[in-house]
Amino acid sequence: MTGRLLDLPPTGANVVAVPASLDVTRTRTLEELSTEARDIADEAGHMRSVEALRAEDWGDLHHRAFKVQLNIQTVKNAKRAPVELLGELADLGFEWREIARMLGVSVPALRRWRQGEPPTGEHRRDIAQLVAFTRILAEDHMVADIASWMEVPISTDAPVTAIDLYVGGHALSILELASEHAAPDAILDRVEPGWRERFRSDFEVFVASDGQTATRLRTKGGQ
Amino acid sequence: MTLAAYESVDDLYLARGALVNGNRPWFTGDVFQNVVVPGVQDTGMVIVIAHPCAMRRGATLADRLLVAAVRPSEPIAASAWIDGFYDRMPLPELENASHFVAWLDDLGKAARSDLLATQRLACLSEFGINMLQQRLTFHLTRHEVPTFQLQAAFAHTHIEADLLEEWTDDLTNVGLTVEQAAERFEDFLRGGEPSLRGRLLNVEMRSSVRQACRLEVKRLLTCLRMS
Amino acid sequence: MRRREIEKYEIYVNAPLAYVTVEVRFPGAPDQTVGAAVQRAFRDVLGEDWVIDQILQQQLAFGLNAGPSALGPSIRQTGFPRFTVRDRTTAVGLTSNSVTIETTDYRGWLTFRSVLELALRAAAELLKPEGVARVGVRFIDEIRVPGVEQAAAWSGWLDQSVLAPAGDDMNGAGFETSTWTGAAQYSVGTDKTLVLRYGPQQGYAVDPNGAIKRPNPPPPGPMFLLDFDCFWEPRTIPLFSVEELLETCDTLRVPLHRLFDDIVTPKLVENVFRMKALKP
Repeated sequence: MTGRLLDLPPTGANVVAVPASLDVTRTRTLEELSTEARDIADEAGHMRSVEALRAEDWGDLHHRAFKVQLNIQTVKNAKRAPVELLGELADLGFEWREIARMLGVSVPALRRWRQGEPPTGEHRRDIAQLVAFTRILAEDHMVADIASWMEVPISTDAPVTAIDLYVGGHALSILELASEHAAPDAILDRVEPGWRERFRSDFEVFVASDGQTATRLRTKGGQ
Repeated sequence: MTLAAYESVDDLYLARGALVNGNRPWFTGDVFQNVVVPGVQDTGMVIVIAHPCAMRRGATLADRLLVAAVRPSEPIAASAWIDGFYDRMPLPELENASHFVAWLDDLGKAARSDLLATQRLACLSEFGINMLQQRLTFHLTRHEVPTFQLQAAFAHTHIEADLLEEWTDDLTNVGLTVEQAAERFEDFLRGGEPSLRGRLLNVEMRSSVRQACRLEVKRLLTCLRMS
Repeated sequence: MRRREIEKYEIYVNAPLAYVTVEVRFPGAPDQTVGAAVQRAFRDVLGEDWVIDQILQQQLAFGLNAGPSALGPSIRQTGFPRFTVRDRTTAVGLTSNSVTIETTDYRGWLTFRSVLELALRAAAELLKPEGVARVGVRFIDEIRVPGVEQAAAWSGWLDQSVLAPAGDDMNGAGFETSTWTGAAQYSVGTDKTLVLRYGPQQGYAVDPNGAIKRPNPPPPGPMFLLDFDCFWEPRTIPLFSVEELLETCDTLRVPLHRLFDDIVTPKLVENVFRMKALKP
């Protein structure tokens, strides 16, 4: 922005020592920040350290960011009536039974809230938080059809869903899944140790000739 | 050899006593009292073990339903059920603090009219129903089917029952009978190509079926209130 | 009581103030990208009136160690988010080692300070800076006086100390002053410095069509620039405390305003700054 005149090389600058211009740092505007050029001494070493820092810090930084965001949205939602918030979850297509699980309450208790009975302050916050969580996933992580996404098993090798993860207190793992920063198997290794053995089954589900589902021992080619 | 176990009594039940919703459709795992089961008992408690698919023809309940006798029992620790008592299904604290078991050898058919005339004491949760079906299958065939496999196979039946309960709750509030609500539900679920009921078999489509049902209920409520 | 002490400077109806910014720098990897999750959380902390406007590109020149075998620099771009209110007159920039708050719609220090506090608290919570490297407060004034078009005509409107040296005498001798640029540096406290860059200019010091918009920009033309930059660069690394940073900014304003009051003449204040009719 300023100081161009002082940057012009004066006459005889290559012969006579020129009084140094102000040797101070400058409070940068955003425009100046975006065009500033800096020299970095050792590219290779710097890049290595930056990459390592990135990998290590992603978890902490993004978890912190998510918690801040979730908290802000929860506080905002908590001002709305619980019936309205529950209605929003229903409109997304969640099953009431699963909503009850995610809120840690019985289905009859949830039914009473739907009919207008006020939940406790703590439960009211839990409802607000669940709505906030679904919004963050849908709006910021571009998860389309959030209820369906959370209902489908995260891996073809285990019946664990994002709803199960939420119930288990692993909301951050759901976030990692949505932002593709962790693979489903890696998340399962973390939250359900031994899952491969636990969910290994010799049975499969099939549709019988009467159109109803049934189970049978696995056959080759599903025949 | 280990069957499924429950950690807390609440894991087994969807509702007990006064919390049982009268609008919830009858389902596998429902417990009734004062029921005659010919060849098994003159009266007493029973638990429905008929598969949901075999309980109805359309919206109409079958004339007779397969049930098992339920009788009082001494308390048995939750862990003991993993590898023992294969001929029974635990029903702890079924009535207040009293413990009961379902006897998987004492099976018979109860008349629909008898069940209609009595009171439903409890509904099992999804987990409880899976556990019941696992124990019954193992007792009758010595085949252990993992509960998660049963869940995968029959989750759509639970969802349909939940949707019908929700539907009935809303429509009986504006004057329809339970039977009328069930008929409308049956008609609605048959609609579409593939039908909404068919779509429930696909886990990715379930939320859209719920959304469709809820929208339809809102539409019906508007129509019924205006008429 | 404290708030009355802070807000004691008159806000002129026709103020020359074009731009205010506060920049806080802290230790951190200079080119580490602020991820999308942090951006969204930061936006949420700022509030519903704020949007993530754009990602500004930062040019970083890389070069191997200097020496006979040094290769030419290569340029790498990295981005940092810019958050703005919807009319784009106030913005916040966030990098891995700095947070900047700027406005062209200054409505008093308390109002600006509330935004500053919000941004600093968000930075504190999300980035958890390990300390403070520099705090700078910058006020840029574009002084315009109707009828003052030649550089030599500023006499009487501003203190002699910011005019061209021996301007009157040189003009009298027929050597017309074309233009000048000056800079002065003051020590205003422990590790605290005030720098003033000044001089007549044409057009704008703050582009009204830049990324930050100016509400009601004056028509381009001759103006006198006063670019105040008061900053604190501690030799140690103090803790990143939002309360202390706000107090530091409060303190940095004092010498800045004093110098401004010393440079502008009562004639300029009465005939220009306090004149409603001059507001477009």
